[in-house]
Amino acid sequence: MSVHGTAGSTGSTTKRPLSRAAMIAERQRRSSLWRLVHLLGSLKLALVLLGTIAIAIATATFTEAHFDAAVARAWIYKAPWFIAWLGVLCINLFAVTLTRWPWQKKHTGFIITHYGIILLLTGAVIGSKLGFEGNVTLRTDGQPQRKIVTDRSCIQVESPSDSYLYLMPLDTRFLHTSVASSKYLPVPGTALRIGIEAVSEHLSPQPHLAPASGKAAGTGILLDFSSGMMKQTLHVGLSTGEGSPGIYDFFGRAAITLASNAVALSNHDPEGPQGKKPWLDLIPGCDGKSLEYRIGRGASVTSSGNLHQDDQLPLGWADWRLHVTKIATNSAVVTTPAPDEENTQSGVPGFRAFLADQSGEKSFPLWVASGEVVPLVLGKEMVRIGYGLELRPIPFSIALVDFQVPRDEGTETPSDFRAVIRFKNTKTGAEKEGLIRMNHPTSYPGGLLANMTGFNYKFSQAEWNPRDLKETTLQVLYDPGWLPKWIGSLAICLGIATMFYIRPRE
Amino acid sequence: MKHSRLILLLAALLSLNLTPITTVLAQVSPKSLESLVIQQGGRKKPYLVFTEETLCSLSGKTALTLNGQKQDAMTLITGLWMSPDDSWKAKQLILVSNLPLRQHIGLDPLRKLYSWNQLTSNEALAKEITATAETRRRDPKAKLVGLQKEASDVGMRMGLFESLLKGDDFKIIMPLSGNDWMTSAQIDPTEGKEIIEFIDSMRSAWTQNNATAFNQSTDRLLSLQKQVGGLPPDWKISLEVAYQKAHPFRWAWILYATAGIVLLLSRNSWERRGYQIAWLLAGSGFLLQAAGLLSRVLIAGRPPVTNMYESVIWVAFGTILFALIFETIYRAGSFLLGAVPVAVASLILADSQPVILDHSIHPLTPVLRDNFWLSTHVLSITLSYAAFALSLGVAHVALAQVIAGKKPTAILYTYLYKTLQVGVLLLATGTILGGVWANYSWGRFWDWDPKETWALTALLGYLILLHGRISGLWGGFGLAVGSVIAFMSVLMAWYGVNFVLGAGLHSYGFGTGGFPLVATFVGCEILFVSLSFFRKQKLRSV
Repeated sequence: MSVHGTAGSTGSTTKRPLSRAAMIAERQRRSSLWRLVHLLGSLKLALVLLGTIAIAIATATFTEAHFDAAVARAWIYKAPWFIAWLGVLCINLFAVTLTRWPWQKKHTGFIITHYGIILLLTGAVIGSKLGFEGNVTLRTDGQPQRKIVTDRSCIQVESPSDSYLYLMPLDTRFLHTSVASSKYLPVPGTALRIGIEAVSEHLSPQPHLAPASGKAAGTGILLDFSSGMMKQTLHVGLSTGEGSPGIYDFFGRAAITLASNAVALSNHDPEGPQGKKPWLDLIPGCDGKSLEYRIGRGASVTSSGNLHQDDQLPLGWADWRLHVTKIATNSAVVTTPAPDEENTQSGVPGFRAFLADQSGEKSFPLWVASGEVVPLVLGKEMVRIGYGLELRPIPFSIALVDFQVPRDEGTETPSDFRAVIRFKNTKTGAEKEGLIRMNHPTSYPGGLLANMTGFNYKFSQAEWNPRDLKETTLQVLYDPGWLPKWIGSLAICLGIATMFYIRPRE
Repeated sequence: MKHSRLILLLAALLSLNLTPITTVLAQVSPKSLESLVIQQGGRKKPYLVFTEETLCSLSGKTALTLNGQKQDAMTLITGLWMSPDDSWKAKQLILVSNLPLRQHIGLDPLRKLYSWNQLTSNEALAKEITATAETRRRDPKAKLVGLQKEASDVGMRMGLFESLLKGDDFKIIMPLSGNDWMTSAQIDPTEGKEIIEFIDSMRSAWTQNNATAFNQSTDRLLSLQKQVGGLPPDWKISLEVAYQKAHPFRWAWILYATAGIVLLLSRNSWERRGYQIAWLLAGSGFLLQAAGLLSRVLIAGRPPVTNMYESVIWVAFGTILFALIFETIYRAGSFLLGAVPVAVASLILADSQPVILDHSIHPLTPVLRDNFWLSTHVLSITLSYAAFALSLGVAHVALAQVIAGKKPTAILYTYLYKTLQVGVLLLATGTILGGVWANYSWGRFWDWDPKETWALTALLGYLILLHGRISGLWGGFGLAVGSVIAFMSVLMAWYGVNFVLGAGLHSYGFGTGGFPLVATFVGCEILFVSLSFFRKQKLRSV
């Protein structure tokens, strides 16, 4: 029954010449190296490996469905232990082929299959180390692109020693830090270190009051507007000083104004640009500790009075409430990113970082939000750091010439996506056009050799914007591991077929 | 004596046949309309198909009993088209299939069909539908779950009812330019004078119940449609009408079931003859199913494995195919005996659950529009499911023998091993082909998408099973038990990823429903395996 010629297998093993089994037993007795090979290539080890991998990846799919694909990726698929496990599997696969040495004709399928798996996994490693995946969004009326957005988050550090930008992989989602146990990263070329003491997934620009002088100084206030119905809290900062905001546009539906005196306020003409919209006017009191408020709609005032720090007031706009969190003189409004845990639906990821030197001295910590560059200053040293998805430069530019979305007859359902792309070699200036359709990617530089080996940038249709047909997003793949993957795949299929269905004539 | 019995039987049969005829006579028959071409859901199809699909989306059935009269889809939908008056709003046509939703909005838990008036006056339902619309407005890609999803489905059915009553769905004429067909109301009154006239005369003939006038007008409408052009070839329309009427898969399972019964009964007595009859029955069922699948291929122009309904049918087909191939080689009977229950259960399921398993032929999402990859990757994956389903069946034959206190023969376990080999080869090939396709369409070979991952999990499971057997870690009985357990991973890859997890890129196959059914199946299998274990232990101790 067993077409595998497995050592120690039951049933069909009786046909095997005894001398071979004896020889295999003998070499294990004599050489510890052979014993090791047989141990590493043991079927029990294989079963344990297959079993644990199957359980791990099955668990990961539930993690993905209930949490997030990124969590499943970090814990299982891309976790070091999983990669190591696959490494052990490769050793097991290799060792098991050695245990059959000297090979016979009947081992052909068995060897092809097991080496095929090793080759496929090797290709995957090459692909993930030397290749990359990313995407690029192009517009027919936009500029040609020379960079690809990868799916890898990283921190960008500009070293003061050589002004060079260093990229280090960093994902705030999987970073566990606190003020007590910060994560440290070196600043290349210096003795400085960057310390990360907190992370947040919900950073948004938050107003603060900062001391100011001269024309910039004024009475500054911080207000919270919250609605239970909308499950939302807005943090608003206003100041009468020059350069600070004095008016806040409340969703385009109402205007909130802070002015140093009543003369400076709008006269709320119902025929004016604000029409009959509701409004809230605020005037700082002479004591610098209170506010005079008036709420109205159009020309009519509905309520008025005085407010102090920590006072709350229902506005009469749905269930919105006003909370005065701070009143301060001689201040200006400064907006910096900060965690907004009340609105967890919005915001960008980021972290709070400081600069530290060898003596342990630390700079003032600042929040770094994704997509922003923040200077950290310690004494005379300044290091600029940024955070976001890694951008990969490519040796050519890509532009979208045309984008079409044909539809199924009589419906708005897309039947295909057709993008015409123009590639331009940055060095030679040579241009080339390619058409990308669903299931039909285009490659650069293209050609048989590049396509076969994977030393090639492949562009496939990824996303589109139903509201803007001038825009399309392409998936980009550069995969030098493609050839071993391909040969490995073919070997697995042919190997299994040979093993099961081709009997050697002996 | 014998003759008189026969006559009585014939008379009984005739009287049975008379009842439907009389009910049809109560209303003009819309039969003459069946091959009218209508554009709907992104393709052109015969009116018969359109009416059955539409009624199925609206009510979950292809025929309904209204006012004590059974009406088929053609009569009912044509009635809506020909006399769209307000009386329809009081008729119980709209399906509210989900029990928790019915309880939540205060409807009778025992009834599934409701009238437009009943549903529009239900404030709890309106609230639920508004909440759904709000979720969608905030995030158009939001995945609706639970009551929201069910309410949204009911909302869609109500929308379908409205558009039917307004006549918006009866798109029967090709425009002078463009690809969007028009209804009689959209046609320019001067250019489309004739069409409007025909429809008007059809309407008056329908309401006056004048069959001759109705048929005359429909004939003229059909020939006019041919004159205007833009129709699919005649053979395609006739084929689709014939396919829709024939129900080849229903006949196939009846034949398979009969084959199975014959095989069971003939196990001990008149063995050879019984085996031959079973072969013949299963073979004819197989040919019928092949013809049905071929029709779908010709109608849709693609391999028949693009949704859950098609894949269930295809897996049943594959199971019988492999069983027949093995029977040709080994003449064992056990392959067929194992395959029949699987195929029959799958086909009955496909036939009886039109709401969960949609029968209609839709245009595919762009990524699937590649017949090369569909017929290599998807066919090999689904055929591997079929081989594993066959191994499940054969394992059941062996385990049933164990439960019955018999020791299965060694050769039966060898057969089981052979079915597993077919499955492993096909699943490995199919999974790898999927990687190659994904490299083209999505731009990467492997990315741990749940469907990919579960295909791999199933493959690893079966590899463990085979490796453990060849190394002697377990014997034939272990192989049989393993075949049943490993099939649960196939179920997860096939049904679970799409209907339970609902995550990942293979979203075109996603759906809801059927969970209690699948859970019951899994429960029964666990029970069956445990029972066989128990019996095995007992046999050993004796």
